[in-house]
Amino acid sequence: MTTTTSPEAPELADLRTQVRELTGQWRADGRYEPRSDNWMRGFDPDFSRELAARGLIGITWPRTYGGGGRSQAARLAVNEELLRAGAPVAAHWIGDRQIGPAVLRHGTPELRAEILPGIAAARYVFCLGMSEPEAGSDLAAVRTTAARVDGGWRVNGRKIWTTGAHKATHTYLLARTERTERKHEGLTEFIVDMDTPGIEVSPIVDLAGDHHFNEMTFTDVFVPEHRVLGTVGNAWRQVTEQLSFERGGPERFLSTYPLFALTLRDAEAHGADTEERLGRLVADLATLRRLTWQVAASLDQGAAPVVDAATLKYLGNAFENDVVDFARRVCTPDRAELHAAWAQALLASPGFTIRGGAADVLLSIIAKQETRP
Amino acid sequence: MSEYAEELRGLVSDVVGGTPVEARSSDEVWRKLAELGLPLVGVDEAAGGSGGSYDDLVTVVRALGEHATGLPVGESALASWALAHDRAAGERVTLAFGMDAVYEDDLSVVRIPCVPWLRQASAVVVYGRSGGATYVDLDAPGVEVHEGVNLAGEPRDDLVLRGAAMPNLPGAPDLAEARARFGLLRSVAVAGAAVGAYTLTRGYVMQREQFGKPLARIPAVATALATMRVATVRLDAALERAVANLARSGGTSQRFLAAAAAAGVTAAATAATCARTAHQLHGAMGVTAEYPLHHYTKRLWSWPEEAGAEADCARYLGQLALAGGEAAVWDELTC
Repeated sequence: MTTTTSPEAPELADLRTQVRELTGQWRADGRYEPRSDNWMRGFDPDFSRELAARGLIGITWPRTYGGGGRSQAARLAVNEELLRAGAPVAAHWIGDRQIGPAVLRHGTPELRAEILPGIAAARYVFCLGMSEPEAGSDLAAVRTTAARVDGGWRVNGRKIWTTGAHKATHTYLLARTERTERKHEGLTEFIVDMDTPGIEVSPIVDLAGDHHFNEMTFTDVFVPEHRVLGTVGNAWRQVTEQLSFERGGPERFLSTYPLFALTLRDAEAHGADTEERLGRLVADLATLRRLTWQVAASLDQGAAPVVDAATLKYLGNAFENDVVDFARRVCTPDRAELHAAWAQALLASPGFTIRGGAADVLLSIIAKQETRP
Repeated sequence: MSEYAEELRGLVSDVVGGTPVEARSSDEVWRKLAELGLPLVGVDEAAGGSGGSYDDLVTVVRALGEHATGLPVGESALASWALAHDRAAGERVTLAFGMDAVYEDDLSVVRIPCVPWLRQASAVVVYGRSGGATYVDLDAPGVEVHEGVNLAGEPRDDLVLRGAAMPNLPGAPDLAEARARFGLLRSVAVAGAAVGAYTLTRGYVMQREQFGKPLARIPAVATALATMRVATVRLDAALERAVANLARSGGTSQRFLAAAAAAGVTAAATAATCARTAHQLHGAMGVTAEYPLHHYTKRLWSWPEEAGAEADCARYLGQLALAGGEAAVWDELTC
């Protein structure tokens, strides 16, 4: 059994209070409205800098690199509260969640010193150059190439579904540095400045009319040698690790929490059936919060909880969609605010079970782990 | 969980593991479990128990479930725990809840249905609707045991009281706490049986070849197996949370009562998924009397509702959420 720091551990209470006060103040001042999926759609560098000023970004990283030197549990307490409040955290979310930890694990001391303080201060905004037109769920099929040139690498190719690329200062880039028979080999990770000549970003508008996705084109983009992340040709192992960080977090079940909170206000007077459905959602949410604390505890112990993280994301995304279904049931025509929140969450919902590992892929990862001979 | 968890699991495995699955609920197995003191785990030694904590009892009940054994270890231990302030413990005491009682003929005849393993007990702690607990000696005049069984063939007997003497147990813990502890142990047993069904199924699909390869290599089969695994991970998380809330907030706290209800809801879902999928993946092999799977799935079909309906647990949670609002959901009901 995993030991789990309690979500209510006294040393975390202060962090929760800080976040509650900050989000409360911003809402009172009319500076943001809680929205579903705001960890991906709510981009506000000012808000991220407020968090940075309080030391709440990169909270688990060493202090030498601008971090807070605290536990995964501390980070989880902060992020749970941010998601609960539906706060606009997209500007720092990717850097804090996965690029920072990846640089910390695989980067040279120079790369760490260059990148981490910028993320922790919310000066650097990252996007993820992973998926390609021919490489979505099958990430190892990437075709973007990086060829050795004097002093570094020359990149050519296309990346797609890149959230926030139009606002990012940096991109993480997964590229092929060698043609090999096995597609999982010969891949390398890079950190690239978005203002490098040869990078072109064009918008992809989603079905809600929002612009967060982009396509990025790389034409003879020069990346200096020191921006290689980790070992040349070893990216597959590194990126799968990074993805397991990505999967076990609370944003995998709290994307529609702002809607859930609204339904709680309005769910009365709908009878026993509504009470039952609501009770099942409460039970699911309780279990999911427990699971995410287990994943955080495993990470603190240096383990890579692949099955737990995949399970969390699989169940969490189902919960997010169940919340949308529940809101539809309690949403009567006189409840305009709830109706608008429901519609917004519904239009965001198809992405939940796709991004960061499609539900079907997650199940196959679990099965693979479980049926190892 | 418990520091003795490995040791306790080993004890259960030693007693039960070597016995054929169809004989794991026999008198012989019960006798061995009783010799080891397992039916009195979590009851103070001063009160005649085996010592240890509720956590230890959880470990034992889960291990028994994993071996498809529903012997009333949890019932005995809880009944003795409920008695501890008033009487000496004993492994032949069981527990019954009167809220499902029906009155017959006139109001003096009470029938409490489906008491686990009542025929094997010498006494029973009966919690009435009003919350008070009483002690019923099964040899006393006016006490009858009407035998019945659940789908798994486990004794679920009716207790019929015709004006029998029922001394009060003034020191007994709250009805709500006793009921929640009992319900939680049922969910724990379900978790054990679900893992047992999963282990059998996993072994089967990895070894059985069709279309020239092991079944597990067929993507639809692998996916179905993964959904079973997801269901067991989910239930274990719900159970660990409930046990942690008991230790942290106490047995009468709303946090514990709500966490036990949430575990009940989760156990029902996990039981349904695991029983259905285990059979689907076993194909025709799984439906024979000879193959061991049905010893697990019949328990998965029986146990979840025996300690209270899933719908009641869910509704209780829903009502708490509506009464307390978002703050209560976040800080109390899901924390």
